[in-house]
Amino acid sequence: MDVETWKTLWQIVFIAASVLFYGIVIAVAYKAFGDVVKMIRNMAAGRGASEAAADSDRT
Amino acid sequence: MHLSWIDYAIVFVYVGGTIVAGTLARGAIKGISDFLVAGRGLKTHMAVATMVSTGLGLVTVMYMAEEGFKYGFVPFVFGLMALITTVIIGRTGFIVSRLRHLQVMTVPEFYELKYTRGVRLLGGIILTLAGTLNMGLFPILGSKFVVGFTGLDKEYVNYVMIGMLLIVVFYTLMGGMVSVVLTDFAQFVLLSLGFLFGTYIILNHPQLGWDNLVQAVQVHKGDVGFDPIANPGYGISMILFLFCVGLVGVVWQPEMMRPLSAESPKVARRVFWIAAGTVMGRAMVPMFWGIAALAYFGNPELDPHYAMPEMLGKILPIGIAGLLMAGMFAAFMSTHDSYLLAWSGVIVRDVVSPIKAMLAKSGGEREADGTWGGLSSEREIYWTRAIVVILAAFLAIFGALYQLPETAFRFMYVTGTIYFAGCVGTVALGLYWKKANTPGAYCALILGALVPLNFLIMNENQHLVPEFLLPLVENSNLVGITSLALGGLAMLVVASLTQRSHPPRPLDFSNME
Repeated sequence: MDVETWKTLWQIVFIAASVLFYGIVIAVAYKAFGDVVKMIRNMAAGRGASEAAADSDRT
Repeated sequence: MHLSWIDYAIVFVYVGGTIVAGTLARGAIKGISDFLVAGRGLKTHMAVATMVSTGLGLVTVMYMAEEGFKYGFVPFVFGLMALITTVIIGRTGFIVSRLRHLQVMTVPEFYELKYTRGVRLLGGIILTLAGTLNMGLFPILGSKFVVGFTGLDKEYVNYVMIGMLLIVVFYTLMGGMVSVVLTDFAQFVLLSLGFLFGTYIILNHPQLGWDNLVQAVQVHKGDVGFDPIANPGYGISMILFLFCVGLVGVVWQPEMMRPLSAESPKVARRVFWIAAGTVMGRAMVPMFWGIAALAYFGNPELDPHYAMPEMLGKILPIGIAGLLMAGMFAAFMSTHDSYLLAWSGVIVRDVVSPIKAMLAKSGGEREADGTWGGLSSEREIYWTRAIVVILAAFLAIFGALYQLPETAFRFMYVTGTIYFAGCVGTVALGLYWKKANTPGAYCALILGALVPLNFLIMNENQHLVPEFLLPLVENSNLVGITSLALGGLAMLVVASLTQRSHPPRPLDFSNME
């Protein structure tokens, strides 16, 4: 491949990488936020991580 | 100083919040599995957030930026290889699903299930050595970012490093993996915002922008700044190594703790599948920043560890600079607490506890609380906390004194390979090849570790090395690929020859999700 092709390729790859990265970050942050809130509530109630996980499996 | 009081206020609010969260997390720690794998209760998206964050520490940003500064666009190939290997793991569950199914907390724990306690001990020692050496540069690189970004005098770099380490140690001691998960989430959000704004500002800065960056690489690096095959620092051997290590690197304890903390093997696999979409961006955005620093200062002789943060400190507006700084601080904390916890967990569970069990002549059976007849669950937590403090002290000394042989990125890969190479034989073949046995595991671990260790030691003493062995102390690409091959071959050859004297232990995956 000549150098101009590499330059074009890296530009396309960088754009694709950025779109994928931010898209997944937004989706994951949105969905994981509820888990974080639940974890903090469990901690404030003094419940162990294992107990909280077991309760979550039952519900 | 480049930052305003508003930027510092954002950072202090973040640090204060995480300390409060760490203190709260202490109440959630009832046993060693709570401390090391958060009770194995992580759901898919939380596990993805925490895994992405661990792979995106401040040190990662620094060494990726250094690669961009030194090699131009060529290191982007690392992002491509990472994408390919993570997709493979996400689709097939390679290594990840089977280890999660076996319910181990550390990778060497698998050695006791599949091989013997002696293999676990050796694996634990090698992993500890590789892990602590690998982590040796983390604090100093983090500190260099803060000093460069804020415009502090460079003579303060060691003091900043110690201050940051103290905060991390306190936080990790409080809540273990539960603390780690919380900082990871904060980092995930903050650093992603920082990435977005930082890149946007670089792309729209009058001195920078995509075309100016391409031109700067062309001027300072020439065609080899774009072509990874022609670049003498990369080439086919490096690309092949990146692919292999991408597959085996999943056994790296801080990375593996996420799938092992997932609620099932299926979730563990899905975590990789979703995270695959982020791996290119995690690598390429900091590399892009490194190239931007080259274009901004126009001097390839600058220290890249300071050039990239100095550039960001100068071009980012008030508020955005604070946000990025808080994100980077979160990244520093997140990686350090993960790694400190991972390596101290390995030292206690795979070195100290097995020695105690051997001395007590206890049987090699796993008990209900996840211990193996050595230390009790409470003592394991106690010693894990103690080792966190000792490791932090070691890191401070190492970071202040050690001089890099090549770039930080190469150092990370060579030190990681001390362990990865043995894992080709012991973990990959141990999980998928029925004939893998104990003598093969010993040989794989020892031979795999020898080549990278030799590189690290003899690189400083090249005059003592015979000429025909010089490539193995000069070329880190060759070191990586040779040691991976040795680790796999050692298991294949030795296990094949010793099947009768050492019959392999079978593992049951018939009911795996």
